Amino acid sequence: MNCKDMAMLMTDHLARETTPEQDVQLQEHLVSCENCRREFAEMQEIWRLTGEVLKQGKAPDALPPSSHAAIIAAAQEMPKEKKSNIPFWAMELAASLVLLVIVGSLLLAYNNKVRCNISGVAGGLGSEACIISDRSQTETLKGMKANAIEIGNDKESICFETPATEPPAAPEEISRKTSGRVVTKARAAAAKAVSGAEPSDVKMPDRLDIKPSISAMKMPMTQRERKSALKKAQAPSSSSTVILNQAIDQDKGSPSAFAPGATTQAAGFQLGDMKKADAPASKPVNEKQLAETEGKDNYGNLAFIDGHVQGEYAGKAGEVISEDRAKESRGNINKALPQSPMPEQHTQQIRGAAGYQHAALPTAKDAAESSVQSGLVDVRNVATGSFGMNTIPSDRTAEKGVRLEASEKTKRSLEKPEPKPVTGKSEGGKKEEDEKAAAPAKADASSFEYNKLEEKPAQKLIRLSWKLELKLWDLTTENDAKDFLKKHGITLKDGERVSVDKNSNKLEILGTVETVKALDGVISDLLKEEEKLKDLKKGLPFLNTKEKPVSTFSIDVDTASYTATRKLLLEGRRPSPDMVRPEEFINYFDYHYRSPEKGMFSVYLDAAPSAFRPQDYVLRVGVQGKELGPDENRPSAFTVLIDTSGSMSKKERLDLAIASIRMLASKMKPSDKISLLSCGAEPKTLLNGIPAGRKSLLENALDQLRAAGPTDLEKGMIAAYSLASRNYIAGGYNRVIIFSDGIVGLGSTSAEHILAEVEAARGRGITNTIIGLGGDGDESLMEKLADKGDGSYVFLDSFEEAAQLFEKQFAARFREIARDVKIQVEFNPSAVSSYRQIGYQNRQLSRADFRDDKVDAGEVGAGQSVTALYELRPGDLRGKDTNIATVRIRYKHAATLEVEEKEFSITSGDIKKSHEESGPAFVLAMVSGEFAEYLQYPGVPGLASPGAIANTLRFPLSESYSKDSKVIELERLIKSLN
Amino acid sequence: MASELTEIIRMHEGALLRYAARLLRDHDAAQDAVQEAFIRYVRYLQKPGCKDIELPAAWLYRTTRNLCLDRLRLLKTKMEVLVDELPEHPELSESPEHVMAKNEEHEIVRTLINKLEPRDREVLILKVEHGKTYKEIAEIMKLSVGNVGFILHNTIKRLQQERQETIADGRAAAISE
Repeated sequence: MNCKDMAMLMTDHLARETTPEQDVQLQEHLVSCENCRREFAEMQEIWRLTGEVLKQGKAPDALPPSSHAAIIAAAQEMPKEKKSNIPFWAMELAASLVLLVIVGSLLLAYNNKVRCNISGVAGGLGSEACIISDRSQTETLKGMKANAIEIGNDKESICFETPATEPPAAPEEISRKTSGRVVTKARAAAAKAVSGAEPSDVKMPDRLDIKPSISAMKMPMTQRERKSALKKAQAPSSSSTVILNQAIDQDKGSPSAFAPGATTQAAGFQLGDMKKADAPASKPVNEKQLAETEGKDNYGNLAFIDGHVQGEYAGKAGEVISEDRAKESRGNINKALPQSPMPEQHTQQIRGAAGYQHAALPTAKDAAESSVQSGLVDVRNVATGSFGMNTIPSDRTAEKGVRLEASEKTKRSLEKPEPKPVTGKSEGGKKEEDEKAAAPAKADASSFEYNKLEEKPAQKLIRLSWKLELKLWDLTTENDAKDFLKKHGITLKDGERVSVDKNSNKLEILGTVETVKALDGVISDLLKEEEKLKDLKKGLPFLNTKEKPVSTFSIDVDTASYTATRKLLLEGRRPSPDMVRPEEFINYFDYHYRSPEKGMFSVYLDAAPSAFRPQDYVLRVGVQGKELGPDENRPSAFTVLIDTSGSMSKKERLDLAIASIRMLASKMKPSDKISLLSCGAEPKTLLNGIPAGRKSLLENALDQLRAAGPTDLEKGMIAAYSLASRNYIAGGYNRVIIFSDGIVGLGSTSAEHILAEVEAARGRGITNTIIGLGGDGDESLMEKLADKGDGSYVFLDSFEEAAQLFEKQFAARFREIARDVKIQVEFNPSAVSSYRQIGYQNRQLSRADFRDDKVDAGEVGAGQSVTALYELRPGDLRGKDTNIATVRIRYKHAATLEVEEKEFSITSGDIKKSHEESGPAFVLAMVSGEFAEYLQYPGVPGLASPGAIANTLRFPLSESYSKDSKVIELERLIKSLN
Repeated sequence: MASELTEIIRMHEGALLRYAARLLRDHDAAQDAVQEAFIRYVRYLQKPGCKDIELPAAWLYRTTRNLCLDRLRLLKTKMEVLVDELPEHPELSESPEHVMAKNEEHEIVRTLINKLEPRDREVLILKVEHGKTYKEIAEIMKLSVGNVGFILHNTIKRLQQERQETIADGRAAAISE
């Protein structure tokens, strides 16, 4: 291509309209043509300037709510031809059901013998509309005030539908027209609860004006909405509901039994935005949830709830500890106020008395009182956002109850000693409340005031504890516990606490449902491990060959478990058993198998008596992959994703990664493609498939790496995989290499998402290498990523380790020769009575998986070796030619994906007399396996002591391994266990 | 439907308002046009037997554009997409970076962009400001995809050359002074 074509390509490149091939073409041309380089720089400059100029000037970033309303209205107009397939009878049925529910609820309210104006309800709801709001609805509502009202508690919801006859009108217009009047049983019940047996003491308001801006309620609904609204109404809601205890200013004229000088009434509201609240998974949580109250921004989108229901449930609520968020809410209210799109004439205020309530209330009665009391809080307090907080019967709200002339019962509950407020904030809130209470309340007869309260889910805190072997999991201090949480992606928020009790082996958390649930998941894994260990106390787990003669596993070439363990041991800590994978310990060392002279693999089988349990034998299966000749080097396209989160600046982590990338690039062929992405909050492509030989481009990109701020590894990984796909070289080594100091904060959904992505990429021939740095991350996820991606997971803790990986093991790690490498060992039941495999717990496959080529397994790089050990309990080993085991290896050629299977066997004549006779490499393998198991199975009888293991290691150290730094270090590590 | 629609509105309203404001130089009119575009969008989808909209964003841009053109025609104003700063919007205060950004270099580029042919300028805006693909731009402006790339390339080249000239002229003027 000539320079003119290239110029065109430059524009396309700037416009991001080029293919990877074109990018490479362009880059190659730019390398060779100085004129074009200059021109390209100028074009980049003008592009940047144009972008900046065009960025200037502001336009509103959203349509006004009235436009939203108009659009939604248009969408909700019945299309001329119905697309819906709901039959008419179904709609009729739904409508009558709705009607039935309305009437039912009204009757129920009436049955409470409370003086309230039911006709108001009918008038209000019957002619206006209430639909169940879901998140999307409420979101829509934001702009257009409200089109949803929710009624009921979280067990059931009632849906009222709007007749579709009225044409949509502008919200303001409707606002003026609307004057729905609603009284629900909620207030009646609340009143009843307060006044004990005599509801008539309580003067309930005759009517309440629903905030008149419930405009869009009138919008006709589409069929689908109708259907979904109905569904929601009928199905018991599984999502949680936030209940807002709101005190409402009432008729000036109406006498009040509660607030002298103020005509204040209490009522519980339930607000509709269900999704915003924590979604409790279980029923008990739901009940607890009911005991909470929270203020919410809802643009007047309100509904009423049984005040007393809260009380009832509050009694049942277990250890729900409330928290005061008065300050935050106050701030939000202030913010929200000017934005609230209420028409002038309705400058009413709803005062949201939001308080979290009821921790471990002793009785349902107390709870009921307490919950009602919170409703009694002088409205003005609430308007400022000072939230009442009821922890235990006699809390602030209860105090307030006294001032507000609460019933006898309430007074009694007050006399109980007042517990400490849960947080400091509550003190402040109280003060404010008191001050505000002194001011006379002014209430408008036909209106109530409303404020926008913060749309935050109630931060209900739950206490949960687990009994587990703290020492085993290295969780003896609170800091350990915090680190542990962090490692598993759980960050403690304000007010959340984790504590450990060494004496009773208890780990306790005080946190939101979400946090507690997340932790419970993690801990239950640990408990499972403990369970396994308990089983192991009976002895090491041998399998009977008569029952299960065949052992099948996928090859694992990772070594991260060893390096990560080493790091901990050097710091004087013990790894938790779940992070010890013996096969990774064994594979960390070199056993000097000879390369195959022909074919892909050579397989070495040898057996000798165990150095640690002399009655048993150890069978070693050594697999050695072929080295690649220079002409066999296929082209590579490596995509490097580097985590640039703030923590990467720690202890040379980023420097280590940068050094590693330099080494990596230097080992690549100059024509190989390398891409580089940094991963902060947003992934950023720094290099897009440039030739690895372009050192200056690489250096320039590496210079731009800075560790700071948060990181979104999910986005980063997805971007990296898509870049890798774009730079894909057919028949080449396509690999995504991820440097990260910890994949934390990924929820299980994102983890699954990423794993699926990785798996899909593997299908396209893109493998990965996960490089862990620092070691605070979620180990198991990193291992899984490598596993799913046919890759390997390595852990770097030093420059030496990096050099080892990128210099010495480059071919083994980055030039895979075979994929889905599986090994199957079939024991002869007469020669071997039982066996156990050392490690490979996560790599077990079923017998049938071996020949199922769809089943994924590990990859092996050029010149890489893999070792697996079995411990055998001998059967009849007489005779020289007794077959002990047959070993099969099955794999796909990495380049052609052609499947190959080979078979080898070992006979009794091959068994060595002693472990020394089997040679230093064999003993080293045995030692590293035993060392790993000592850490993996703490306290399990039958395993050798560190002293005995170190003693055995002397033999290889005195032989061919005397100068092997890895083995010398191993000895140090083993000795450190004493 | 409502949530999908809300999502679509949310996704595109900001960009469409900006685009319409550039075309109409009037925020209120822009708002009307964008609202109408969305309404047409939902009406279109309600029509029985309507075809799926392959590129909803492009569809919305094109409709907004047509509505803006209609309006300009009505006002007998020549279609001009100017990149002068967008007209002041009462609700939006000037951001500090906005004020800072008014430097000389930007003024040069702004002038150059405003001197471009309306069509070229619009392609440039849709690409650089709105990040549309060639295909989308082709769809919005009823051009061919190849044509879009060609226009964009020529526009960039022209801006680049004229900027060099302007800078050179500026230097020459400075020297002669």
